[in-house]
Amino acid sequence: MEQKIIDKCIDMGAEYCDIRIERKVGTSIEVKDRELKKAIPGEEEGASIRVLYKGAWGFHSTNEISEERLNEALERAFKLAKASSEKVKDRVKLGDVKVVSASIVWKPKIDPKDISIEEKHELLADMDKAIHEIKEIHTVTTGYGDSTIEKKFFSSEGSEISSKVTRTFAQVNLIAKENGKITDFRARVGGTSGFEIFKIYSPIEKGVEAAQSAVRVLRAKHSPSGRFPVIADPDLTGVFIHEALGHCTEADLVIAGDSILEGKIGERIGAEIVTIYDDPTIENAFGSYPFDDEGVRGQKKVLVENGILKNFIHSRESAFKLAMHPNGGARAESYAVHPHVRMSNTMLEPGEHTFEELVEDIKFGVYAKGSRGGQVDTAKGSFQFSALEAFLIENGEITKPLKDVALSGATLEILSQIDAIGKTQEFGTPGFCGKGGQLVPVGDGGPHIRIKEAIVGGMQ
Amino acid sequence: MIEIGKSIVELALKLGAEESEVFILKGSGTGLSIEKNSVGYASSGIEFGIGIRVIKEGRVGFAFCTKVSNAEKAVREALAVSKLGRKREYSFPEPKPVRKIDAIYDESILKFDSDFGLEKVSEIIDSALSVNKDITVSSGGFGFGESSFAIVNSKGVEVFDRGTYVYGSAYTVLRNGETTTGFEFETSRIFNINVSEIGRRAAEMTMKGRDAKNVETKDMTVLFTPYTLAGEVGGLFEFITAPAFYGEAAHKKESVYSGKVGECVTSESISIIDDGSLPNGLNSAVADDEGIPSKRVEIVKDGVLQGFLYDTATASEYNKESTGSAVRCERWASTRSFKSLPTTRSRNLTIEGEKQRLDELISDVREGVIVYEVLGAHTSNPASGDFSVNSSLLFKIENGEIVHPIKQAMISGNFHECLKRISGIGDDYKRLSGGLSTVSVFAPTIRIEKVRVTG
Repeated sequence: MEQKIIDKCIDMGAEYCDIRIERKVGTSIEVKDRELKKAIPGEEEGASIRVLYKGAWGFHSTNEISEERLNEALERAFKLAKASSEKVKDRVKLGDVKVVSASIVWKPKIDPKDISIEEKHELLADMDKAIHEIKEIHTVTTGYGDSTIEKKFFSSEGSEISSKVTRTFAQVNLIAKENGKITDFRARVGGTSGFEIFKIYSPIEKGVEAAQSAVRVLRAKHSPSGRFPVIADPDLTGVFIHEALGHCTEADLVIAGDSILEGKIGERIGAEIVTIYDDPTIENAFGSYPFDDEGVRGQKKVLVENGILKNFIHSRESAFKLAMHPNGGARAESYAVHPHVRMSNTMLEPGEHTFEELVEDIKFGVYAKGSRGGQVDTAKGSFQFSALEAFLIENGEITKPLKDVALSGATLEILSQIDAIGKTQEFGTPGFCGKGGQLVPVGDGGPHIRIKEAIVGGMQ
Repeated sequence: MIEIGKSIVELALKLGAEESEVFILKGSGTGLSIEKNSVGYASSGIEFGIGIRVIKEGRVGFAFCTKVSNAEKAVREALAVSKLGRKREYSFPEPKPVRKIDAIYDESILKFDSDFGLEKVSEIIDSALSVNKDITVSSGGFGFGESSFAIVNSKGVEVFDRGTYVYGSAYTVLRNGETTTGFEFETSRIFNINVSEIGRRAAEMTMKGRDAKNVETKDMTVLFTPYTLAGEVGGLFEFITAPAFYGEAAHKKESVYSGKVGECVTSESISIIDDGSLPNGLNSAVADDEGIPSKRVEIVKDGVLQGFLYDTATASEYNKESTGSAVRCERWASTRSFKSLPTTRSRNLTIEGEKQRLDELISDVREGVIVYEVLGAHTSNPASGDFSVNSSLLFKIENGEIVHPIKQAMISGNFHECLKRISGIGDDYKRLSGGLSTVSVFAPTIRIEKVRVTG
């Protein structure tokens, strides 16, 4: 069926087209303070078609998979592409990729489909119970989600790819209160895997740790504000790398004039000890995938090597435009939207120092842990991200707990300010990255890092 | 749609539900994106889905599907899952009369096609370039669409409404020695937006950012323009203020406003209202997502907290009336979904008070900043209200005048406390969609005294 439609599209004059079909089955559960808030089994499916006509894209999606609807989608997408082709200034060309015929199943070791909804509910109930044992914890909202997504990709170049990928996660959002002070805290564990991920990262342990951190934050002083040295833990390092560097290497932003890294391939943008890569092939990592949504195999890309900018994350069209190689970075949130250049798992390579060595050289600074997320202005290369908790560093020692530490800075400066990197790389919290109104699952991480000077915003 | 809803409600009752409710959502939209001074993607899509709630033995179950032919399967799933829920004294709402809302459905939008959209995209780009030909409109676009929904329940609720929307946006960059950026966007339910204004204003903001200087760290007056209150990755009003007014959080003592009904919680010069019936409101419709008629809810009146927002479940839990605040969405989702259960959300959150022109608001400021964009509003601590955001689109005000743009600064504080220090509001109301929630904010520039600015 799909082949017929693709052939028709080419006959109509398109130079390229692809069809994506998706079926998603999953479960979403939420428990708040021992009460089940929702337990939702869900099934969705849909299809979309992308048409390239005289270098202009047209796209249409529908949530019914049938020959009739796909033909309708073709008509609409083609019409959009044709109309667009009369106005587009830079005609799109696609970088060469291999024609692929593949069927990939990333089989989970413990398939969530084999776990009853009652058992999943019990996991959350156990988390809730354990966390509530800490008396300062006022509210606990635990959530569980799993999804198995089957994708089929067909292109006019002859590629035919089917894949089946499962993701599972559990998370907690909690509120702690004491003496009129209130704070929230959060944690999540999960991966591109089945229930077995909870054997590696225990949701109950993570939840209790989060609760203990929340209590520390309640009793903490507000962070000082100003410019000083900062040590980030692997979790925060991951977010930092994602925000400060990752987004700026998304080639579509580079081409649009929206990235500070435009024209800088081959230039030094960071300290020699800094090597950063984006890799969707890491087993179990939350941002992993076998093929991107253009039918290109997911692959590791070294973005920064020893401080030198080496590569961007590409889609087929961005690769062609910048005379570079497509590297499988085009992802869409679902069949309903077209792919953009996105990160997968963005990691900083480990260095040589122990944690103690990072701390002992600091006279006055901050040790920041965990993250509330961040945001970046890729055009100006300025970013912000917030830590979940922090500690003051005074004369080489970790002293008082601090709260609400936010860091900001400029991409081109901050990477040169990393003067020491820890030995042990860890994954940060699995998360969802938003860009262009689309969320995709991502991973990140690294070792501890020391930043010589960052702008820290606090309330003191 | 009502007929489909009725048949599924009846099917559910036949299959053993004591009560049932069906929510059907249908929509279509088209978007023409801008990439580097040209059209990027021309895309469109259609959506259709059904969310089914059942009550059996006092317990609620829910499931969804995307085809009418799968409705029976979904009903059975909902019934099965209901066994996990807690037994509650909860019943779906009774029917109540709804009133039509003004300016949310524009038939002319239904006739827009891709050629029209492409024309508008060209207008946005050309008007930006006419300010300075070296500017790049790096992203943005023009889009439009329509949606309709129906709610039918076994108590007799039969609500239907439809609406349209249109938006235009431009994000501009100028690299000429230094890099400056700008943006502008407009969203409306009816086609009353001026796309060439969008391009022009974005470009002008870019030009005004040149020769930026640093600022010293101190407490000063901050003018938060509407863009900082809601937006792409959440804004301060959207992320911190709105959730603090939700009934469940308030009653469970998770909100700083818990137990403060009758007390002064903001400056006396303002009132905060949530209005699902707001003409041309981005979330306006005849009813909320449970069929409760939309209405204007005064949350804060002249600084005094009047009450909180409720959906039918939280209203029944805490012995209150639903304020028509039920929205079907996931926790951080910016769009409504048939796949979600109804939860309390502010619909169109607005602030009222004695309005002044923006230049008047600025003229009374001895030392301060006016902020156009903040990064990291979503990284605030929503429970406590503590925030620390970064901005590189802000200007220094000295002795009543804007004197220079600022390169970069962090602005921090406690936003709930900030609302107590509002010393004036502007008349430059803007409709904003939420970035990390479905909340829409309709607000002007807000001037707040004594806020920490870190340079």
